[in-house]
Amino acid sequence: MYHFNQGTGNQAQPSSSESPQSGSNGNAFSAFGISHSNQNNIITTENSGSGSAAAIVNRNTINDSSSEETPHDRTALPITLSLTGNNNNNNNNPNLNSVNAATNHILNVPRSTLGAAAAAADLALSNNNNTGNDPNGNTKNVRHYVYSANQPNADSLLHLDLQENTILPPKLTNKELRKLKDKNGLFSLRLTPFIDNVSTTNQGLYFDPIVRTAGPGSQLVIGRYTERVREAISKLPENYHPVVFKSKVISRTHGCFKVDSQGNWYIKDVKSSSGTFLNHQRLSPASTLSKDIPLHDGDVLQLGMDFRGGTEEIYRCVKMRVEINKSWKRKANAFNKEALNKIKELQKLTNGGIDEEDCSICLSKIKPCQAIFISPCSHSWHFHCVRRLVMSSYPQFVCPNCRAACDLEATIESSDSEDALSESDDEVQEDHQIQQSQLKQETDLVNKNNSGVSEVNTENENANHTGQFNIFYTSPHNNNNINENNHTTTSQLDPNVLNSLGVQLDDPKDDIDMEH
Amino acid sequence: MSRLIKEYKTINAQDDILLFPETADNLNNWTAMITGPPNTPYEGHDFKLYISIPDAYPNSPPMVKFHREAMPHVNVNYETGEICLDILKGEWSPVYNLLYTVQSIERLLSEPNADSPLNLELGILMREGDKTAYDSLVRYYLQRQK
Repeated sequence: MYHFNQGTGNQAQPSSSESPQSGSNGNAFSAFGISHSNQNNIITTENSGSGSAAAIVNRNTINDSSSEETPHDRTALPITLSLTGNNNNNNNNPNLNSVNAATNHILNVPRSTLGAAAAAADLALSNNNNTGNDPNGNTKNVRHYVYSANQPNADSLLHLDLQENTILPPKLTNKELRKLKDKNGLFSLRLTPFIDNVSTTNQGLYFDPIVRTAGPGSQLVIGRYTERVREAISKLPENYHPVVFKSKVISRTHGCFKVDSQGNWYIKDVKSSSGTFLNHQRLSPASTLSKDIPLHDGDVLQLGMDFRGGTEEIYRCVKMRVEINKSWKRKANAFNKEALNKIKELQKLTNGGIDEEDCSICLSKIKPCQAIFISPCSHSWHFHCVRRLVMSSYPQFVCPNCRAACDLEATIESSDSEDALSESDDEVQEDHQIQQSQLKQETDLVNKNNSGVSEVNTENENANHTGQFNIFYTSPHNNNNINENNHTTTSQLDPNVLNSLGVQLDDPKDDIDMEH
Repeated sequence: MSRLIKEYKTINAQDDILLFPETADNLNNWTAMITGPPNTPYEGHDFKLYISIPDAYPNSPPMVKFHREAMPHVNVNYETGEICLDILKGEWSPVYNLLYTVQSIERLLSEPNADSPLNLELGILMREGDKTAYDSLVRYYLQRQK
């Protein structure tokens, strides 16, 4: 139930979308929600990659290439669809209305090489603007448009409605612009859940990071995920999807992102009922069209407000962090590369010289600036790849490579002493001394933090080479207070842990003294 | 998905095991042919394996089946072709791959395990330690298919 909008007839062919010719048949037009196909053939191109694409194309334009595999990033652009699908919502016969809408479009579309899509966008937006004054208020026909990289007249397509005092960044040179684009010449937007642990108890809706790419002049609809939307987008590559969330506080057509030819992104609220907040400021009152507000990297965007306290997932607002134009892709600097090399060297030492370059889960290379998880058995993977495994059984972890089981909550001291026990006696003593100094530092820290409080008095005389140490507790009760006050040192100073440490040391020369 | 493409390349580069996607454009369904190991009743027979890859792969194991009513083996359900093998269940590790999985199943042919029988008839014979009867029953089944 979605259509590619074919700007010119030839763009219907995925394989030739990058080389537009003058349209032989200008009305290869489509709008979302139309199921009439009298003149059109539906072609579904399967894609063994991560998406498949279907297109309604004019019969005249079909050729063999249409049925070939469509590489993911060469899906025919532009794409257009509407989340509500028609101009009159709450209608039992959406198809009919869409057809009407489409007919209107076709009548108004100039059959020029500029393309029906551009004109359609024009029309849809102007419709939208007009209906801003519509007393019924139920005609939110904001369409989702994704244009290709070389869309002409991109800025005029957007109908930007900026605030008077809006200051846009200076015009960029082509070279600077290219840096902002991805390899297909598209601008990009990434939305990640914004988790604010400090100020609020509710976390907003959780969602997987959203990445969208779009050429200049595109308009990405923000809305609610509905069954209808699911059908509409199921065969589109994900990076061209509208931005939809499974929350009822999001209006079906809530707002939209726009991107201009300079790679500036904008947010607009299109009469959502529960509002859009940019950096905690509401863009417009309920059911009112807002201006186009420029987005900046790192902005916090909130869609809707929690309903019923946000206890139910479906009534949670969406809070997200905005990143634009590849800003989330960090370039590795010398330090990053050096750090990774050091880790690799370290692993060679522990593996006996075997160079394990690949992540054995995804089978791809571990590169600088990727999060790595190194297990106690010294195997490593991308954190991304091993995360499920770590989380599913935490704190127990069974290494997928060597099946060594380990306890990820093991305190640092106790695991040291286990290592020590397996080594020779001399090393054991050295290790004890290291432990002592560590312990001293930690307890010193505690003493500093609790100046005036002297529940813990660690005497750590290293005069004796055998390494004695004494720990005095004035009372177990006071010690508990310390634990509460110092979360960072809780595990180290827990009497039980120390006790077990003493047990594990298992060295008659060590003298652990606990006084109450 | 990219992981399957990588595996596909590795699999194509080797010629020990016959393992290929069912259709060229879909890496979610694979077929493998394994040959009966020598000195087993399976010697001289070829067996077809159907492998389907779940979405969660490689965090979840691939689903592997023999052709139904084609594999008399104590750890294989004769009617459905279902295989009882630890690495296809709880012992799966994302480090394993399709090639390893198929090799393990091939090894299962020469090393049947009576502790988790899916084929009761054969399981009983095996538990009683009657290897001759076991082998000949397997041969009988295989013969009957021809």
